[in-house]
Amino acid sequence: MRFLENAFFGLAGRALHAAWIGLCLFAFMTAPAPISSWIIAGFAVAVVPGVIGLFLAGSRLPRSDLARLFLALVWILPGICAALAYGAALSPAALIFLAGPSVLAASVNAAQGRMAAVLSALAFVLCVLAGVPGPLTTGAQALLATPEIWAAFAGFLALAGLVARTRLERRLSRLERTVRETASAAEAFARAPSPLMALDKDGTIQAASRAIRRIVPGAPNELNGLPADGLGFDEDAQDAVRQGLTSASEGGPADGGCFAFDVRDRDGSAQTVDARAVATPDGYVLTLERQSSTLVKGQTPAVISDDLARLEAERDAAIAANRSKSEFLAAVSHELRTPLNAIIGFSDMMKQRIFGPLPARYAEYGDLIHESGTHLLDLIGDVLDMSKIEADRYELDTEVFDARDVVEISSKMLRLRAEEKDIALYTEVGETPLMVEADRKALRQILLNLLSNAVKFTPEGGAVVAMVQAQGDALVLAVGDSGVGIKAEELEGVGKAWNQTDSARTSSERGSGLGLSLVQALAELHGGTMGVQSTPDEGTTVTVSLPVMLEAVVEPMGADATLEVHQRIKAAQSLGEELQTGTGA
Amino acid sequence: MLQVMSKKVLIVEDNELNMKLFRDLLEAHGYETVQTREGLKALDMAREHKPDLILMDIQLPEVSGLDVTKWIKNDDALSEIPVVAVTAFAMKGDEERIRQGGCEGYMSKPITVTTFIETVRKFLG
Repeated sequence: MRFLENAFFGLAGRALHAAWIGLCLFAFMTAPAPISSWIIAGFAVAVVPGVIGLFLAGSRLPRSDLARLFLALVWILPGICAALAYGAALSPAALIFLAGPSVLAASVNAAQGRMAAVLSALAFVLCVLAGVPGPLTTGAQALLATPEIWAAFAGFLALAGLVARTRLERRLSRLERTVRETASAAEAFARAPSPLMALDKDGTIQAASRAIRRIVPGAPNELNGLPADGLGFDEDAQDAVRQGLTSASEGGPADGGCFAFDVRDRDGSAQTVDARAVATPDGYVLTLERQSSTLVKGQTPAVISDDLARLEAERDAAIAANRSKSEFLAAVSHELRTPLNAIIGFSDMMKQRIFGPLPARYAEYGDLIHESGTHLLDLIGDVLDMSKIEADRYELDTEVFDARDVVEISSKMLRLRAEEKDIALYTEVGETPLMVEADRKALRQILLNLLSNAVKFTPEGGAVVAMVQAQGDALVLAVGDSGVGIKAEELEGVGKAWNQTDSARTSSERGSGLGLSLVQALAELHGGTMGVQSTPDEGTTVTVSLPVMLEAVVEPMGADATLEVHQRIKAAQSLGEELQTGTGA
Repeated sequence: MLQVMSKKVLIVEDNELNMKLFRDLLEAHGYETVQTREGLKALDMAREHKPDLILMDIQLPEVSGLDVTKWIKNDDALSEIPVVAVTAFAMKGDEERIRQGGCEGYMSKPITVTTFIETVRKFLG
């Protein structure tokens, strides 16, 4: 029904006013000859609000109340003119006086509606007083007798009434909701487990929780309307409450409004109560709590600020510890890289036979040293990256590139390792470029980690599939394998930093337990997600979804990436088996 | 028989093993090397031997390799010699910082034989 509210503005307003002009024109055209100047004048006056309304509704003028009021007043104009012209303020033409207020009732606030009604009434009275009684001209009579005019006018009034009703209903439902909310808030307040009071500016209780009786055992059942400082407190307590409220309203330091006072218990013994007052727009909220024995009356604010200082010191220490941790890790990384340079460098020289051939055994050892050194280097990189992410110091370095390139390069890097284990490694990158805005290094790391995990945990003769596709604004990477899988109870821990599954630990393969958590962290840095689906002894599919596409791709949704990868692996495996049987035969 | 003057590389590196690695690698590829473990001596060595290329470790015990590079670049007789940083500072921003410090090239440790030789060849032809 909202469009009705805007019936006088916007498209509906334009249509309405255009219709009014059309009606006037129609009436004018069908008026019987001769066309007197009265008829022309009558037509002109009638048409004015239509034209002005058309302009106001069509223009980009703000829909301010002023514009509405102006329009409403313009709508009064024909009434005044008709009444004056026909000297018939008491004739049916006077009905037109209703137009202004009804427009306002439909679209403007009540105060302006009233104002328009008063102006209308005033004009009406003036017309009656100034009324020049006289016979209507035949033309005017004919015009007034045109049924279309009255039909349109009646429709107009009905529409305005409908709109006014809608507005009223909406307001009523808002009020109802407010009442409901207030009632439930009040109920919640009353049942709050802490002793609470809402006070007005004079300190009179507006609402109180039932728990207040824990503090003030003798309090009457109905507390509302009583002064807060008079709950059977002695004079000192009353002073304390008054002062506390004053200090809360002055808003002083953070502990402003904290105070303590004594109340008499049932057995007459004094009990110290900690109170805290907070100023609200309408008054105060006062919380009371029985003081624990270690605190001394009157010292609460100091104790609280002590606590605050201690907590702040602890927080600073934690931040410093975190910073020194990452500085330490940077230093460790440097220290580890220096000997690794010798390990990897010398073994690389052996690998390349720079000083001539090597006995086969030694050549193999050289390769193993080189491989282990490189692996160690990867691990150091992972540990360092994870620490940086945990310390919030990892900065994404985004650029625009084709994600397919990264997939191709990463799988190329893993191809050799896959071939050594006789694992079929497939990539599916599609034919359209997948332009993304992301951190290229992070994306490559995600893929390398997923692929090396997949190759690592897939037994000989298995298959690994890497797929990349766009789904809306997300780049979806999926890497699936026909490997050992992850047990259901272990799936939950996957992605948590420094967490390694049992199967990974017991496997002959090495892992830092960081691979997947790093993938997840890097995905999250991009605002993305990681999902793992695994069946023990069948395989694992990890899907990473990153909202990094340069342009959202709206494609007929392909099958779910995980499912698709699964199918590819099945296909790849059966193909591999066929080949093996083929060669075996 | 014509003896071709081989190109000379000054290695500034405080780690003994890494020094040996770079020296062996360069010599295996027909380059002549001079070495120092101390940044403070690097300037004198450069003046004395007039190397065609300097491989500079950045973290040296007494003075930073970047400072040594600055001295070299401020010396009219030496400023033309290209300096390639070989460093274990492989964190983000390190390469940029080092190149801004006047080094013409940058290699992060651990090196690979292929890129090491390629980089050296790029500067020595």
